[in-house]
Amino acid sequence: MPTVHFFDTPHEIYWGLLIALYFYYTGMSAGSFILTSLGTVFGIEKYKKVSKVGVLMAIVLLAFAPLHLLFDLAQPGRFYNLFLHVNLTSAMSWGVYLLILYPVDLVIYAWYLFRQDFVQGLNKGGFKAGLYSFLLFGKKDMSPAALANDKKKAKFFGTLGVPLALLVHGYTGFILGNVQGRAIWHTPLMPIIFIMSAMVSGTGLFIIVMMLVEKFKFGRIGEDIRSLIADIANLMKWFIVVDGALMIIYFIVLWYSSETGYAAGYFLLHQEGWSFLGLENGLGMLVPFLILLSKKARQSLPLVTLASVLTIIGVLAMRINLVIGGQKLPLTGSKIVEYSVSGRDLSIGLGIGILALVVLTWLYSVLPMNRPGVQEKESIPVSKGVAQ
Amino acid sequence: MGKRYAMVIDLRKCVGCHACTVACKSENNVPLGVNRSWVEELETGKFPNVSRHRLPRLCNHCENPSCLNVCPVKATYQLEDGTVLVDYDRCIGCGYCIAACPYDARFINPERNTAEKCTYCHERVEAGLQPACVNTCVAGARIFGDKNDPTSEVFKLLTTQSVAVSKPETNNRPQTYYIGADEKSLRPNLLKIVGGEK
Amino acid sequence: METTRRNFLKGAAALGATMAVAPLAFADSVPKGVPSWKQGGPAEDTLDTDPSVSFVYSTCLGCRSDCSLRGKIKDGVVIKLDGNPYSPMIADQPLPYTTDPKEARKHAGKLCPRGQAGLQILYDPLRVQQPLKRVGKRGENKWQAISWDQAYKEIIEGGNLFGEGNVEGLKAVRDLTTPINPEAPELGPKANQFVFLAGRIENSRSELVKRFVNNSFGSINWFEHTTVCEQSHHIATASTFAGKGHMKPDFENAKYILNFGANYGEANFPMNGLSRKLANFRVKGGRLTTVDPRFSVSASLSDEWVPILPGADAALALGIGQWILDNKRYDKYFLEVPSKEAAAKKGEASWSDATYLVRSDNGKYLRGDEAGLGGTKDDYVVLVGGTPTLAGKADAADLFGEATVNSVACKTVLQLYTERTKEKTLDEYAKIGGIPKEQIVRVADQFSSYGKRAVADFYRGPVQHTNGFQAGRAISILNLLVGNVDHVGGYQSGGSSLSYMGDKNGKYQVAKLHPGAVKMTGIRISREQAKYEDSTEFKKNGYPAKRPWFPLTKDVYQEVVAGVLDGYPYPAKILWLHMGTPAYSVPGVKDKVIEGLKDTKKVPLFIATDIVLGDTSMFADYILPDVTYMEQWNALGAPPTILGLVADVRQPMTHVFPQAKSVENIFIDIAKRMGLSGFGDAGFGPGMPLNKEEDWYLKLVANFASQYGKIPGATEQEQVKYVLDRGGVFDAGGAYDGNLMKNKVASLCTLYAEKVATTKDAMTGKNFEGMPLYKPVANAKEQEIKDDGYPFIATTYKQSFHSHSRTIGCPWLTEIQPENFVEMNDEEGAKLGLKDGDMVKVSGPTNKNGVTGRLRLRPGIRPGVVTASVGYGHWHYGSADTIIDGKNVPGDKARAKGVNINPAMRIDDSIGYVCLEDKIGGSCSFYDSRVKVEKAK
Repeated sequence: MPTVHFFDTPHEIYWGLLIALYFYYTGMSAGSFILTSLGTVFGIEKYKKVSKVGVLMAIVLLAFAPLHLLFDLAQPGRFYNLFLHVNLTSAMSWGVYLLILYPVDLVIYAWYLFRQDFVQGLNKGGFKAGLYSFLLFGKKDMSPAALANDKKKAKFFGTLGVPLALLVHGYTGFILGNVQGRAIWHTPLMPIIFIMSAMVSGTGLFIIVMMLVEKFKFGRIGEDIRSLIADIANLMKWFIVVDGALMIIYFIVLWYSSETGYAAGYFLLHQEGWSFLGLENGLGMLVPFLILLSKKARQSLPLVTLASVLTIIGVLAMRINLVIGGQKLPLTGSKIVEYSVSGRDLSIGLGIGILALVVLTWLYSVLPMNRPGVQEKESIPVSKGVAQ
Repeated sequence: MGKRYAMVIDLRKCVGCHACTVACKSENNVPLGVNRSWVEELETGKFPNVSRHRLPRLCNHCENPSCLNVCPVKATYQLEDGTVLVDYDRCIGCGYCIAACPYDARFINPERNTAEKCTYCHERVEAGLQPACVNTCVAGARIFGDKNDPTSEVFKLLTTQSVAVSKPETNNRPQTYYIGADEKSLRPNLLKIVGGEK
Repeated sequence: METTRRNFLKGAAALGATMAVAPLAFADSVPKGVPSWKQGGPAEDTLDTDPSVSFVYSTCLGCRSDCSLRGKIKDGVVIKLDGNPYSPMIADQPLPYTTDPKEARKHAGKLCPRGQAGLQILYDPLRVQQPLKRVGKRGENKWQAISWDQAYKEIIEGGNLFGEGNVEGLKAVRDLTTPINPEAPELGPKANQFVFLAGRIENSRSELVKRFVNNSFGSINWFEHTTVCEQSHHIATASTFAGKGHMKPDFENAKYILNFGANYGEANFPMNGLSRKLANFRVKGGRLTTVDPRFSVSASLSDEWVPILPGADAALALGIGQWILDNKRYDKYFLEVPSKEAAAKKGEASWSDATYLVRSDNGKYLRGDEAGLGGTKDDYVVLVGGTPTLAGKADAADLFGEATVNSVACKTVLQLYTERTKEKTLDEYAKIGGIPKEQIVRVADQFSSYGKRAVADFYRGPVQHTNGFQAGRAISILNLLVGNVDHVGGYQSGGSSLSYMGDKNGKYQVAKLHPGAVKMTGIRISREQAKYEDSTEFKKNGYPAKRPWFPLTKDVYQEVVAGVLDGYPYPAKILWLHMGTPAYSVPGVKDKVIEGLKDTKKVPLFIATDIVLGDTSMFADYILPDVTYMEQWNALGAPPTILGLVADVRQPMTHVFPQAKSVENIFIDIAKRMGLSGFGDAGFGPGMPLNKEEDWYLKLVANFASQYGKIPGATEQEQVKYVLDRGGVFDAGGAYDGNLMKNKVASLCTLYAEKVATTKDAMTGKNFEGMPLYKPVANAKEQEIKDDGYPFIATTYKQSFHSHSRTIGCPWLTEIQPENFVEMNDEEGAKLGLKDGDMVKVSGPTNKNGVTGRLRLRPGIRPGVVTASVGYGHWHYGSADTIIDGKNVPGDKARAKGVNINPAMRIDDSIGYVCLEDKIGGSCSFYDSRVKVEKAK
């Protein structure tokens, strides 16, 4: 029956691009950390080679993630209230503590991973040596006991890091999943979906970063890394399988949940079809999955790179679809709530992205990325004439 | 039982004039573009069988308010009389309460940069006055008072009239009760909005 | 407990009584101290109970309802408007009048959105702040700010004011002896070439300006706007109910209301009180039927909607009458009563002419002296058992019948009415109305099922037609058929008021306190209240006249403008437009009026008093800044919806722009400068000055006090203060008198309009009809208007959050609905291939360019009709860029949004310069124009 609405009281979407990016960053941080902790924590030896690459990436991503939140606050100057007041029923309130504990744990974990290399790097002299010396805080002991302690502590903090990573990203899923009023968000699967998609995008980004680090730090991508990438690509395939399965379950339950859920599902298939089906699930999941099905493809660096890039894009689309799309469905009134990203938010998003990239690049370039069997190629001898 | 404020909106009386909307703006200095209270109206049918349905909206001052549960800094709080308020000095403007409220009742005040919503004109009520919207409702459709007080008009209406609330399924337990509300007007017709209803 | 004092708003704390004097009008586009509404209200909100705020009790003018108003004021800034809790206009249970104002702080009355948004009229940054004189051509929107002294001097003295040649000022035009046209001396003296035309001017403001125009200056040409509103309603009602121009149902006790096109819940009088009474009526189980082509708020609250075709209300009412007569559902005992005495015996206060004999030869009632019954010319004659009898001698008389009395063929009035209703069958009436016959029967059955507690009410909808007067009469008569007049639950004349002019028993009989008053003479430029047959023109040319004359009505707004632009019956020299905008509000004539007003030959001097640069006042030579209704005085009463005593006072709450001046003070100043009678140190007589508006209004308020008689206080001053402290005199009680209303018509109510029947139409030479009839749309020359090829009838309506032309500057209102729509039936729109939201052009046979607006398709519009709400589609009112003193003041483009559909309506091209009009009631036809709607390019 025709229905006409006479007055449209406008309502805004307050959680926009920056919030989606925040979820995206924490997700990739958690995903890359969990992946690369496989070596240290779970004792899968070959992954030990890449623990350091992964942990630095996780730290930097996580360090920059909350900046999005800060810039999204209407009262950024009052962020400290988050520490002064706790609300146990608010996922966001837990998140504040997770957002501190997790990176602190990661930094400690990283320190134990890097300590031996710092000591070994002291003899290089110059800026790096100074930096390493500073970062060692005097702990230069290279006795077997100390080395064993490094291993033990790394395992401890790495192990602690896994649940923290799951929580730090899982809680963002709760932020949305707890909201009863919004059909697209309100599902118990949300934290798990967030974690699984984080594994996918974290893995994707990690593969690319690892290749870059190999290339620039060691001049070439070693055979061991090539075979590791094939392994990781295989893992990523399975992550995609789980993530995709979750999405299918999510969608089916949404479709059959209620009138509102059905409408939400319809909305995702139609209005958001290009982004939801095309970008998020087609290009971002199905295509990489198909690529990675083939063992040959998994062994081809260009194809794995392509699959990785696609998952990174796909998960970004997923974050945007969920966060913003979830608010496009009106709670009152008669119209889809429109969203267009503001120039400010876009600039902040890009700015943070570039800054994170610069910082990560710098860290990779100054920190000793040696891994078992491979030494960093010496670039410029920093100080000649110093006794070996 | 203690005091529990609630609002009854008798839609048999509402003429959809928007006096409440404007009175709220004037009383509470609500900037342009955002509303603490507003009126939705729809017309449906096929000529000459037509009906019109109005729905004044405002914060429901829920028993179990989503906004209060999600606020990370406890800037949103609830008085014993049920009034849900925002501490404007504490609010960090994260927008979580806005995202979580199922009723679009909240917004960021662009002048003050904090979350904001209807307060039941708390200061007025404390001083023995009626909320501005209730006071001005030309047809007397808005009735405010203590729903636990058997002498109150709200109590009488809630006990003698059939009432409906918006979106009870969210378990917010909203405290704006509508008399004579049309089911169509209590929630958006999402399927139609997303183009799924021909 | 954590505090949430809302002391957050910086607002406009600086805004106060100490408004910085702008050196020039609009010196800044947003003058210092005027709040930016983006931030909310004008100041920090403060509780009513806060001792630092004060209250001024006044009267609203957000629309014409005149609801009792209270302004909350802090540091000279009006921060909130509410209803005045003493007044029965704004609450069902107002405060007792004796309540101490300190106690009254804790209570506030109700106010509609327009009323609430009055603050944004008061603090409109685009108000005119200083007298403006045009520097370009008329309408070029280029102005210079001038001093009041210069403005007065130029207006009075005239001269080569614009470098376009000599212009006669007020002084030169005020010639009380030279006739305008020596060959037609009945037109009056040259002074009549000064024409004062008001859009909105209210009681007591009117009297002061009339005092100036009519009795000091000596021009007969003082007008207001009523025909553009609903004049035919007033004239039709007055012609039926013994001169009472406005009746309303007793909402408290009525059981059934048949509403013909009155906009309950959105407008009508007073929107606020009426909405409340209607809500209570409905909740108590009252039944409502609404006749309106639009599914209005009233229709939406109704048990039955009659979606009639515009202009067919008379057909419906006559059809209902026919059914009632056929089924003998009329109130026989009321109708057969022929006199006051006989009525009294039956417990009735009023009686009707149903039994009176009407002569078939001249259309007059047969009088006692003509019947050979020994009566006088004041006696009416009835039939009792077929025998002619003097009305005064019968307790009951025959309702039907005809007789030849003294060789004069006569019929009873009810006989004539019956014959009129039977000229068409119910099927024919149904066809005219575009509604099923069953619906006519159902409505007639319903209406006649509640005895005297059923009321047929109407307002603007049925009467703003070429046949408006007759439609209004046909509806009014339905009330006589059920005999509800003066009855509890019936059609009633409302509460009481007090005479502010003190005419009868006031302390000051203000009108008489005018030493040296001039007696105005002549013919009004609108040819109203005058007979064409008395004119020289008639003697020379006979019928038809060049333009219609309006002997039966007054304030024929559109014809004042047409008279000025057509120079008929004489040219005007000075036009003073006050708070009016004919180019915007009169159907069809926008372009014609603008073209005419730009012509300095037709209008040599054009002065406007306005609060902004209005859509019509922008074409003036001078714009003098008036004050808003929150800065002025008035003394008023209430519409009849409100029972009890209401004598409202409007008094200033503040004065925002120091250079703005009330129109009262402007005319007092001018009169004093010109040395005219009735103003100045001895304006009211020796020792009784009229030097400022307070001199006038305090006398009016004193009249309220003295007539009410129960105001405490030893001195007049104390009593006046008591009244002002409460915003007037109110007494909610005492509305009823047993089964009858306390205030009664208590007179002869007439199914037959004898005066109308014996008055000739200047355009045809034929008598008007005394018994209401349905007539198709016709022009002034009685040629039927068909306009084939234009399939829709264009109509307008008022929404609850806009009033006419004056609320578009209120952002709180425009944000509810930023633009209005061209509204059309959804199925019909689909057939035309139009989509909701399309931009469409609405054009008519006399405006092919038409107007453009956004289409809204909805089921609640009758097919064959398009409508648009009023208040949008401005070309100025602050929306246009304006040059003042060489500087550009940017317009507020939000004010130009939406569509004004009036210009697409039809001009009566048989006479020009006007829309189609009702020659009896004088109303503009708003709902007869045929248009077509097509997708805009």
